[in-house]
Amino acid sequence: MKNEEIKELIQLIDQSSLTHFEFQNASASLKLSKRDADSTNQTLDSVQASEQVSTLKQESKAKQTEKTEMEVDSVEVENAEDESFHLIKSPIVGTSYLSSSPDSEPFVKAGDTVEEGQTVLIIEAMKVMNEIKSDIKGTVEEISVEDGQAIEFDQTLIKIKAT
Amino acid sequence: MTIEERLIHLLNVSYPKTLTSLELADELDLEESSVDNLTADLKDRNYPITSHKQKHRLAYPVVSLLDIKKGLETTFIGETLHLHSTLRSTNAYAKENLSKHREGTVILAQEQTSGKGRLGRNWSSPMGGSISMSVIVKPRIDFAKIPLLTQLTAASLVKALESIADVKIKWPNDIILNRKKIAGILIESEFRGDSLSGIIIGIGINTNLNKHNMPDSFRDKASSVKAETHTVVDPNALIQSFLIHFENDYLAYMTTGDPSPFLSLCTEYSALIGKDYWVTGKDHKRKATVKTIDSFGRLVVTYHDTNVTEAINSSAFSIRGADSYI
Repeated sequence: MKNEEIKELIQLIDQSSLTHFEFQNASASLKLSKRDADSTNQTLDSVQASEQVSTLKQESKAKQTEKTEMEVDSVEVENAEDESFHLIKSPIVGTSYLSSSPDSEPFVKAGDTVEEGQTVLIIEAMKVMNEIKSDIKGTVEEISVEDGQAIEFDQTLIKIKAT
Repeated sequence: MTIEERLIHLLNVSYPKTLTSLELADELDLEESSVDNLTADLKDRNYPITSHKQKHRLAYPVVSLLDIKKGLETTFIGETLHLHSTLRSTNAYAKENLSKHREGTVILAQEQTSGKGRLGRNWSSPMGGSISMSVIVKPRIDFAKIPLLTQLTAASLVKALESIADVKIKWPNDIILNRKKIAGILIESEFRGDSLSGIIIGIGINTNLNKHNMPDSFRDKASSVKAETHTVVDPNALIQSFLIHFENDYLAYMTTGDPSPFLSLCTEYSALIGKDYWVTGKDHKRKATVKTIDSFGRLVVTYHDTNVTEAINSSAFSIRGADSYI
């Protein structure tokens, strides 16, 4: 599950009348509950007691902390690290091929420099050879799949550090 | 239109009759001696021309753009056609020049030096004995539809071939005649990251190859339409018919997203259904009965050892008869 998707989900729940929400799939589990902070309805009057201001600040801070915790909980550490890499994901369900034929060298290896438009691997499906080319220039950080592996839609195939 | 292409066209039109050097010279506005030089040159380059006492004829009609275009009733498939005398492979050429070519462009070659089809490799044969063709399409579609283009193309090809031979489909991409492969489909697509640049529909058909031009090792697995039916194939009429069927089937699929019309044809013409085959995976080989093709284009098989029925769609499997190709 992507960070963006989680943020979007939190926003949707935030705007809804729901006070509690739970979600689970293979990559993440998410529990959201709204506390009755009412902070959005509060207006700050300049003459309000400083005590009240500090309470509000604390409350909003608590809410923020809660959100941060939810994000950290739900996103795998590995995913969080990926933010700094460009991920090439599979556009299609199929089988991965890391070289053009069984006896040839792989298209790319970790550490290789790739140019924009360079072939990085092939996803085969029903005898359709889908050649995946890099959409950026960079260094291959990791080949995330094996030769001959069954690949799902949107699965990360290769991580590239942009240069 | 080069003088060569016009000469080939004239010989195609008069096939199987001969044309004299004088007749050709008149048509082409050349000297007779130039016609003789030209035909000798084409013969040197492996074109199937026989010349005797200034009379020339083709052993069989060969691919000619003039003959394909005449009566090609399509709206965009084949609107642009390119014919090369020799290419490594039409698919490789189409891929290298993908950005330059519009949707519907057709690349043809009289001769392929390293075709990708497993059975077509390293054949040395006279020019024009097979059709090597790639069609470029650039659809805006859900990518999940792409894998079924193989069976869509197989269905279009069967429609084009059925009037000349009793063909069947070996799921998902080979065309079979008398239990031998006579045509194959290889589709290649190109993505930049997650953006589709285009799809190349590659087709090879063994039309007029003679048995003795095929390597011994392939004779029990592969053949040509002419070798099986003993009738010469007009490659231009066949290409034209395929392009018309393909455009119809492709447009229908793009519009409706429904694969059932071509999948039911693939089921009807299946060479596998109802028979027993060895299903070979990475580390196993199991006997199975082929049941049908499901709505996702997968082959449904029932294994003999466990009696379990499974839908196969992976390249990890290859299908073979017990002791023959099919």
